[in-house]
Amino acid sequence: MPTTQSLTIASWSSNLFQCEVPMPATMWRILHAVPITLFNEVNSRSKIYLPANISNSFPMPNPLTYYDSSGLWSWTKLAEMWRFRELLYTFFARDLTIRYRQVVIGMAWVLLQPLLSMLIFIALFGLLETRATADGSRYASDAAVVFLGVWSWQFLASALRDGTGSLVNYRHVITKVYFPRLLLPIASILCALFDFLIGGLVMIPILWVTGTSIPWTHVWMIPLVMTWLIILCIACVAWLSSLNAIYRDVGYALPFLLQIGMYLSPVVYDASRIPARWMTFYQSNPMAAIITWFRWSLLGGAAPPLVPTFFAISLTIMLLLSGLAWFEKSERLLADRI
Amino acid sequence: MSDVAIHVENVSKKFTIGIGTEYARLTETLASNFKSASRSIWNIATRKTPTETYSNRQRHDGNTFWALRDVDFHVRCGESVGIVGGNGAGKSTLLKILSRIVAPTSGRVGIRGRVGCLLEVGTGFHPELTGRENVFLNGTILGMSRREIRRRFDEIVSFAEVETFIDTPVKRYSNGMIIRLGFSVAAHFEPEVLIIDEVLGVGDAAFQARSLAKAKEFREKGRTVLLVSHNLPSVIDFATRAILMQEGRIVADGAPTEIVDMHTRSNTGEANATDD
Repeated sequence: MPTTQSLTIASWSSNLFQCEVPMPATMWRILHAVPITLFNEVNSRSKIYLPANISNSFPMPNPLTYYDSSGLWSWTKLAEMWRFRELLYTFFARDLTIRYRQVVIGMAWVLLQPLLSMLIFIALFGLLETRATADGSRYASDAAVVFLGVWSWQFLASALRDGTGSLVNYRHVITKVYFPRLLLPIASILCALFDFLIGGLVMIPILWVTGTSIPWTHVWMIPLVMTWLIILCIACVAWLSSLNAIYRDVGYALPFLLQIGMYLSPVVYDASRIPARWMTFYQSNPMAAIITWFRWSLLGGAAPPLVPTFFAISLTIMLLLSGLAWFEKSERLLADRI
Repeated sequence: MSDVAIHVENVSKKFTIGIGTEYARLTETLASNFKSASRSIWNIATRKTPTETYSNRQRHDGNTFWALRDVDFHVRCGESVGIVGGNGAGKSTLLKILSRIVAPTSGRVGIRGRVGCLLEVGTGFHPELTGRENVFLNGTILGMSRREIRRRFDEIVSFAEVETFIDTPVKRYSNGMIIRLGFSVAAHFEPEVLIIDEVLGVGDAAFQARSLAKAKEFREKGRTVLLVSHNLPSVIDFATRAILMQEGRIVADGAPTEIVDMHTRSNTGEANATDD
């Protein structure tokens, strides 16, 4: 007997499938008004009359578009992904629906996971008589610091886990229909992002209970840090998903790599516990920098150093560009090799 | 060129045979990728096109296999073209390149508008999702917009005859119901170019007749259709033009009756040759 909660989630998520992608019709019309008027103008002048119903939605005849074996990643790829945005949305809705179907407590899982891990680590630190933060740090409580770390790490971990498997899991679609393949791993990231935002609801009572005062002067940094985190996820997933499609070893190695990454980043402890002489090296890890900046924007504390942040951002950009180039290259072989 | 719907220009496709090269060591692959990447950058810089071509003498060359060799033709808007040929003639590879699932090794293809591809019905169906959700999922994967699907939803469901079960997970459907629903979604998609591969062989006789009627309806609307079939009478019945393929090349191009006749003759000729 399913609970009411799972029923509401099921009916809510099946509505997801039918609603339209948030691209306001008026905006669409404005965007296309200019080329359409131009086109009609030219045609009426040169006395060429288009058949009334040449295309079911759009009055322009389609151009003859060529596809071949060459090509590097370019803006046309981005434009194509925008055209396929409805498919991205459908993949996202499907992943979300499947995840919460036949699950009794549904979304409570998303709230419970970081909360429970946070409690375990706080209890562990209590037993070991140590703290997650350095003695002189200005944080009100360890609980908020650890929760924020675990919560953002779980976003990265689930995005990478689902994203890496996404191409292989949907190989029966990949070998039958064309669409920009990057949509599949990006849909997994969107799913993880959805869980991440829901999990953030726990943050509010934690802040309240621990009596943390939000640093209103730099809380506006949060969207920037989130964008950085999402870009990092896209970069990693572009590499991992396409590599996993050809070498399944990647999928086996990933849980282990994620575990190592968790120790190397300030997830269950604060970066202030790291000795100062290692700081530049340590904070060049993009995930370490992201979590530190995230803590600073939401909980206050000491401001993160700028030079390693610059390294971390450069590393992220390099990872993204190389990842997209590699993905573009392997995308052509995907249907043959997967 | 203004009325060309499909333009296939010197397309060749190479496959590598065997598992050994397919799962080469990671370092080797990265090295060769680096080499080919620098070569392609060089080609772009010097405005050269890649010049990999097949060996003229044989289709198998070491552990490579040429599925298509210099295939070159075009189809005008509104034509329905049947492609016939024996097993392994390269028909399906050609369709996969046209629908952009695989990239050609050399050459290029030009397409006007959206390509609808019926290589298999029910692509992307997920057993946990309901019939309704799967219609939306499958329709978007094929290339329909959500608005299009919502507008034609009732038609799709009644054509598939699954009205009563539309909100039941597909895992409780019978095989016939799944195939009917999958075909119905595909049949209500109206791309500029439709590609059909043997799909008319799906389902019972009454359903097949209805599907063929649907394909003809599509043709009457002036859309371009490309049909690959082993069912020669249906090619004669349906197509306005036919192409005969053998060993990855186009051998003949012309009226369906002649081409099918030629195909049957070459088949019986081969059979006689083996008898002797």
